[in-house]
Amino acid sequence: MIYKNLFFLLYSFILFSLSFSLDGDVHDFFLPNGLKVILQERHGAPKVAVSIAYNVGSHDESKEKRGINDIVTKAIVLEGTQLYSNKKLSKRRDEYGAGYGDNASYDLSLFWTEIHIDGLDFILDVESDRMTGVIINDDVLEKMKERYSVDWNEWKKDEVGFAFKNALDEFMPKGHPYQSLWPDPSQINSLTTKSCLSWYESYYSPNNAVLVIVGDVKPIETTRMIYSYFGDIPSSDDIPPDPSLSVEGIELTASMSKHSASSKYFTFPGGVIGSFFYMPSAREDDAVILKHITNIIELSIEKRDNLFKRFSKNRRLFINAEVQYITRLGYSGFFLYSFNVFKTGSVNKINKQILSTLKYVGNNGIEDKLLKQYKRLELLGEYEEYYAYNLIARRLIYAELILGDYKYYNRELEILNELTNDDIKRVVKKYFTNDNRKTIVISMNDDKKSWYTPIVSFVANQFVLRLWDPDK
Amino acid sequence: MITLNKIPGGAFFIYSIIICYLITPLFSENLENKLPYIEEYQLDNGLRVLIAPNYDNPVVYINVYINASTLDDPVNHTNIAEDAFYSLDLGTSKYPSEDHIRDKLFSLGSDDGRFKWFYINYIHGTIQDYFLKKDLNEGLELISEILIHPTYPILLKKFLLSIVFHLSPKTSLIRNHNLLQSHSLHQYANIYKDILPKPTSGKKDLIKWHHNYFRPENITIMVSGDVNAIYVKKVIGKYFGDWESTEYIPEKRNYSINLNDNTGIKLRFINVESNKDALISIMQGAPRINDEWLYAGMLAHSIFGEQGFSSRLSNIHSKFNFYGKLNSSLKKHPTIPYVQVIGEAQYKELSHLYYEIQQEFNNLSNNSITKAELDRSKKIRLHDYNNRLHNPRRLSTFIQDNYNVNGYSLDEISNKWKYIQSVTLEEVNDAASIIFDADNLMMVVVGNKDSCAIFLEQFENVEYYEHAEELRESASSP
Repeated sequence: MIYKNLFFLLYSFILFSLSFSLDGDVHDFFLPNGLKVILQERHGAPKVAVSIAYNVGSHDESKEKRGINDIVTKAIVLEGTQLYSNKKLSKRRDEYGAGYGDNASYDLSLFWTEIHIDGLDFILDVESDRMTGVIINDDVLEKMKERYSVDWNEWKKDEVGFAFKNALDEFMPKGHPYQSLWPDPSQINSLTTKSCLSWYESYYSPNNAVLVIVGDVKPIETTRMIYSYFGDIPSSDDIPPDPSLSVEGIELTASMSKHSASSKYFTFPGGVIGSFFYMPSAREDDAVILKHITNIIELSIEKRDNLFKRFSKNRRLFINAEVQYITRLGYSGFFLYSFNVFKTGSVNKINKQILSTLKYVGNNGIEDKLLKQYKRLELLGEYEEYYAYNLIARRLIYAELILGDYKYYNRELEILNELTNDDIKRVVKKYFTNDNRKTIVISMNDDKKSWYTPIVSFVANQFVLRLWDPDK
Repeated sequence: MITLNKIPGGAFFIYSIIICYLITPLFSENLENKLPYIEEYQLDNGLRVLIAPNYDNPVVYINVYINASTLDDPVNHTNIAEDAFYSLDLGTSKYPSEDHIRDKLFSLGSDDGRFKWFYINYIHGTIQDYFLKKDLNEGLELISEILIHPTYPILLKKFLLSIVFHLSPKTSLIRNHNLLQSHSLHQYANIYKDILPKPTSGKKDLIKWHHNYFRPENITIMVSGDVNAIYVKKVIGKYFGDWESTEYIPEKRNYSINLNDNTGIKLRFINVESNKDALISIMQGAPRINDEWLYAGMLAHSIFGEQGFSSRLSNIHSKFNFYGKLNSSLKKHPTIPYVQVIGEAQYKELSHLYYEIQQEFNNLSNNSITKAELDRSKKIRLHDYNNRLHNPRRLSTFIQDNYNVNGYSLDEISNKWKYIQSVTLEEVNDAASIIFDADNLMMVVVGNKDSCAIFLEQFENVEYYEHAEELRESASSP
């Protein structure tokens, strides 16, 4: 009798627990058509983030179809669907004060919305319609091509940005699927309606997608809604396999890409010298550590602390810098750009100093104070983002499609908690080598140079900028 | 008596379901239309404190509201409010230089050594940032240093900047958006701002301004997040309790609105030869904070120009293929409220854009708002309020603005939902006819004079300015 009573007490407790929605709980399941669903309960605010990502990116494009994924996602976003014209969709979103966006990258294509919980039904309807009812015909394709051409011409006016794009294209290993995200308009113009439709039907299907919902949801009710909106969508049986994204066998050697450009933001002559290093796939733990190292260098630049002083030789080699880490499924990339005014700077000296500083970090690690401040900064950022359900949803998607399992969605934070100087030293020594490096040099506003520029440069760099740091 | 072992299994199952059903609502909280708990108190020196607990994360958000603004500039010393505010973090008694303050902020988790929000506008000044729960004491200490003990050091950086300003070509430092805004506010309410950048004020003037306007009665501190109210009171008492107020309280400057029912259409044109497109600003009246028709006015404006793609203004923008920008804002200032439409147009389309806006003003003046539009507008507004309640940052901004700018009590703030709901169709149409008067408005256009010639021909008495020309003493008057 005691056991029987205990059983009922336990059963009652489980039922009681299920009646509550527990913050942070994650549920996942597949629909029979192959759609993967990840649900995370967050009850801090009455809103929900709905993100749907398709396992397709520019890396899936063959040479003849460069830019096709960009055109298809543009059609989805700008033209709307049979049920939701763009105007109707905008009106409904406005009513709920929804935030939304899209992103088509090398590895995936993503559509996201963050909306009041009352709007969940509506957004699921929109996303399911996007999976079946997108309008792609000759008229739409022509419009998209025209738009691409306008954007391209506008973008080309930003000569510095364009020089960076060209340099990055040059750095792509020949024949690798990671070719330019923005091909020349002539390549776009060769795309046909048939090929775009076929692309959409193959890749934008439930068995190639992940639906992530984060927010103030009731799991049982939400699951019912998901089945109702997505359950009847047929799966695709001709999704091409992913291409190989490895760089193995591809020759990687140090090289330099030189450009001259006019800057529309910067009125004086000047220059940018960038060091690009190939980095491992995002799936490797080392990639996470490298991303943290990038952020630490960024903090050091902001602080103008000893590490930045070492990189720049106390701002004698360059006056400011920026770092960037490009995370990808295949290989990733680390960029450090240095800036100068009235001069471009010495490529050899800057390259040598950057490598020597990285070597120093490889041997000695990062100052404890800087590492501690970085950890605090990240922790605070994590708390600040607590209500940004859209960011949490994107993190889950990124973990599922790029890292291989959504359960890794907190991996950056977990690794950070354990991060030591030994990890930093090991990783820096392994990846920051001269053979693994490319250099970009952009000389800016050469037309504004005159006979007295060297004198102005000398005064500015040796005196004024020694006393005054405008970027601080 | 019924005991556990006398209940049969099936009955126990049903019993447990019923218990769950009955208990669940006790644990779930519906935050819709309901302000969270906020504690309010005042120090003896007049400084007000608001405390809003939220235990989702071990983090606190500090929001300091300073009731001093650029409108408090003396007549003969414009821009001093900005100078005094933006020099606050250059050094204090305890942190002698900007670098010391930056270091402190970095050590508290800042990514750039600056407060997340640190600005002054023509309504108020504010300092805001997140801190870890354990850093609350240090965060408040730093803010108290900046507010109470700034030293206004004379810096080489300031000196060098003043040289750069003097040597630069006059037009290179002026951004057209600011030009448009400065002229619009000057035309509308005689609000004067220097067009050309000036060297910052002297140390003596800054200290005097600080002494007069940075005073405890002008400050409201809101602390939200994972806080213990008793501890917050103790820390605030420690750092702000001894702050003594000076006796002299400067009176707020009075600004009169130049626009009334008999103004007609006033146009000021600023010639900027190099402008690729024309910029246009149209200013109209708006309800004051204490006007009974405030909420009707807000909804009427929302129907006309709410950000997004579904307002009447957005319909106008669609006729120009969404070229450039076209937006509208309602500023709920206690004394000089206004509605402003700002647009960017190709020169050949400027007259067309003006005509479309005029037509819409006429429509709005003639009872054209429908029940569906009103309901939709209410829904948008209520969603906006609800979206602010859960995040410490958004909540504190919402509360501080209403508490200080609007002068509302916390009870009054919690009635905002009710006020919005109660606006009738008649009220919103009446409000629209007051705000959107096509025959009385003030307008500023910035652009190339020759390219705007056709547009300008349709107006009499155009007031002309050149690009870098300072504002003239007397603005347009009724």
